[in-house]
Amino acid sequence: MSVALFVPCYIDQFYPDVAIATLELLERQGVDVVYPQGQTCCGQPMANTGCADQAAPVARRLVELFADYDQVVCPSGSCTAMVRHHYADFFEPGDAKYEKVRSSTFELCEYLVDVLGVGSLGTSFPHRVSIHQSCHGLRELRLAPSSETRCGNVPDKLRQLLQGVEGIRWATPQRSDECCGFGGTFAVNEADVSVAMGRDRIADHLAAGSEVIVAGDMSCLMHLQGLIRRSGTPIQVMHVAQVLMGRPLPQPAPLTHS
Amino acid sequence: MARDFVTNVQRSRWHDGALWFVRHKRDVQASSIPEWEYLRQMASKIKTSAIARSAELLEQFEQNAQRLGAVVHWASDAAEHNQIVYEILHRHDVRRLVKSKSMLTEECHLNGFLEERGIEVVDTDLGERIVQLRGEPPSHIVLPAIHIKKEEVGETFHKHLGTEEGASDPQYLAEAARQHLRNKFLRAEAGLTGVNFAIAETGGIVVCTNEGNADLGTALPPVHIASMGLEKIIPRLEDLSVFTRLLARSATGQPITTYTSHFHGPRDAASELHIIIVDNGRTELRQSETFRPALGCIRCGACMNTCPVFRRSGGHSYGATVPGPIGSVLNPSNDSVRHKSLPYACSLCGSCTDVCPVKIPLHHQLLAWRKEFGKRGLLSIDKTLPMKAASLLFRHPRLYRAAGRIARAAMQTLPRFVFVNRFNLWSRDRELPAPPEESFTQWYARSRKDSGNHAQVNASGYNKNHRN
Amino acid sequence: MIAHSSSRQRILDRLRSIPIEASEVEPIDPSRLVRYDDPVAKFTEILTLIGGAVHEVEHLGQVREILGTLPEFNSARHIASLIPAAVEGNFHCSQVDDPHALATLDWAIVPGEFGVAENGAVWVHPTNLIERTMLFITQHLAVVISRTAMVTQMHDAYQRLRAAGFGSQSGSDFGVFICGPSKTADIEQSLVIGAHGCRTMHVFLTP
Repeated sequence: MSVALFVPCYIDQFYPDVAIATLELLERQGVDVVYPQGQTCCGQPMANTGCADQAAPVARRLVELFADYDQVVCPSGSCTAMVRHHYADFFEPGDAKYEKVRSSTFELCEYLVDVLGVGSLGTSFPHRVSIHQSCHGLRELRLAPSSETRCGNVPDKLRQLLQGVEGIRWATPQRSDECCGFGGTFAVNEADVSVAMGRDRIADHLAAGSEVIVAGDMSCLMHLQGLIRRSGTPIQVMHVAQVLMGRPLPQPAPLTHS
Repeated sequence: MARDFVTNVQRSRWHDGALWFVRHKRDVQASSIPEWEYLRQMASKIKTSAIARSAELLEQFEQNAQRLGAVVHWASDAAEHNQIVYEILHRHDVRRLVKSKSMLTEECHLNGFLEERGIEVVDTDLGERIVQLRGEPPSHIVLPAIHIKKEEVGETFHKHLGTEEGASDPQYLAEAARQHLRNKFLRAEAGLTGVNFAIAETGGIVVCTNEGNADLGTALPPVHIASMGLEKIIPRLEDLSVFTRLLARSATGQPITTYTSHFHGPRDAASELHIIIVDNGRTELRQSETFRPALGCIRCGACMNTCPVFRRSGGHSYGATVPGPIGSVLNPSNDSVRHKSLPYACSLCGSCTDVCPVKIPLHHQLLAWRKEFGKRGLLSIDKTLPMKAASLLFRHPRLYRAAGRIARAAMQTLPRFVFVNRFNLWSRDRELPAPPEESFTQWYARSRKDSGNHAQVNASGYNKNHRN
Repeated sequence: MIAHSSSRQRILDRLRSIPIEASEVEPIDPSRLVRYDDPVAKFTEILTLIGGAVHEVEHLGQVREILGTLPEFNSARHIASLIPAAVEGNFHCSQVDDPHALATLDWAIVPGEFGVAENGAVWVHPTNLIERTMLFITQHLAVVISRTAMVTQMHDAYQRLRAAGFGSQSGSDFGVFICGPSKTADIEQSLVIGAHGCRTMHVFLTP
């Protein structure tokens, strides 16, 4: 069984510890993981802008890179959803490599729960935690039941995994799964609305008494963190892989070099 | 205009809160019947089938409606619809028309057309009357005046209905509107309604309201005009059971609208019922496999109530007759150049898709519009150029790695104003991520250079310094 | 008549220009639908919540008694009743043919056909224009139905309507589900009871 780690571009460049935590998490479960060289991006920014011609070569490159592995694991719901649900336009119908990568790519939490059946992790995180459900993890991958639907027995995979960590206390925001307003290029194209949405989310988590907002998508957290750091709000963000590995609560970082 | 609305934080919060309250009521109602998802599935199937069979069903509907004594008209576009309405009114020498809610007539800009021809048009839905008196279009398809505060309604009513100055109690204002509109109903010579559902098998139409305005407006005057988009057709009487269970629950969080009226033919032998079946871009939308499901929309407005962008930016910000997610799907099909920004006013969160009672994949359709614009070459250079650059970078990993290194180094060393300035829309209100010393790729190359050795590597060097 | 046949043809041609496969829609599976142990209780709960009033009575005479406890009934000037055995009424509908004559109506007492437990709606099926107008123009509405005429949800409701031949008549027909008094929340989402239709709605459930 060969398992490849698929690291989203912004995690590679700005949040390497999220990828390290993911790697360690998988290895801790006895998974033999390799990190194929030459990875860049899944092509989502181009595809979501409508630039299919620009997205297609990037998508084809990704498929080529991962086609030889039995399983591909990615610490992002959004990038996994891109590969699973939005690649069809870039390949001939029935393209064997694409079909293989599509069906063997997993978001980290779903891999841990559905494929590995992970229970207790033997780690500890003694903090008050609130979950931010990333929209693509939630509504494209169904990692948890969305608040709109009434499907009954859909498990909440993030929460289930976090329940295997010692010492977590829960904080529950009033709006359980409202969008943070990142939305890729939306964050810049509609900056005002995006910022308003992000601020509302942070206020909701803060009011719930959370110390740290945990999510399966670092892109949402990058946006929220950007707002938190600018305003100096007393709350942190962490990727679920970092919490599952029992990483310490991050220290507020100084603002960029001034 | 979104900026104006959303940067008025108090108003934006208030608007968001009001619509979230409606969304919450919807959730409570959806939870009240265990078969909710089954109903959505059935609604989607019924609409899909009805859209496929529309020619046959519309003909069947026409035949049955005529058998019941209705007159059926067909209009290719808004202008023809308006002309048909005018000719009916003109023939009966109608000077005063009362209307109940019809988004189709908004889409056709009927009011102005008739007013220019000397006909008094009175919107009788309270919300619609408020925006009509204020000279605004509705900002929401179910809650037309949701963007207006009660104090502003008070001012409007003081000016037009003579209510007390400064009075803003909703009960008092609604009572004043009731008296004012009672008079309009009693003096109306014709009534116009929208159509929620048209039943092919019976030739009947169904109109749903809470206020009772469609019923008063059609019971009192002898002429009833019903304007319907051709997508309102459903095959059978029983199909209504699915839609009446979903509509009001989704729209306002009520178990059913106060009045669900079934009109079969004119009110009596001495009266007339005219049904106008309107295309106005619908057959065009139907040609597209991608956008066809949008014709299943039952105009409940749930996608607006749930949309985090709509809630914060209001229904006027993007200049569309039908606002919100469904509007952003429908409007570009009429005029893709004018409405090409709509599908981008969306974070692709997918809440609209999950809330939609007929399961229209709204956020996927919005994404599909973006692709369509790309194909048609409608994207502006500020969208395409960065994407071309990004694509180039992502196709060349060495270039990508170098760019990453340079960017991280620059963020660590260059002065703050280089990144944080008014031209950078990210950093106007947000910090950029604190740049790490090395990328994951660099870390991996350093830590795992002994390939095949997958023993635990202590990443504590990172842990200590890991900053967020 | 207006010449519009060209648009008719154009629209139908356009709709037929591409074949779209229509899959058969299976009928609703009754086993998947909600059932209530006590449909009358559910009906009462929902309609009361929605702003209506429900009264269980043993005989029609009680309708008058209960209405007699309401100030808005005692002060009413014009009362039209289609159920004289319950309430006499002083407004004789059979003598008017213009619905505008009902403008001053304070109360209407009318029969309903059946109730729907899941949403508290009552199906009312007036037999002529005056009876129809009455439902909407009156200030206060009382509907009398038998508590044995209670269906669980809308699927049962429409099956009942089909069985009764609704929609298959040869001429005009009108029927309406009424659920509580007319209402609006168009001013800042504040619920106001009494929009254009009735201000109060009372449903009397007879044996």
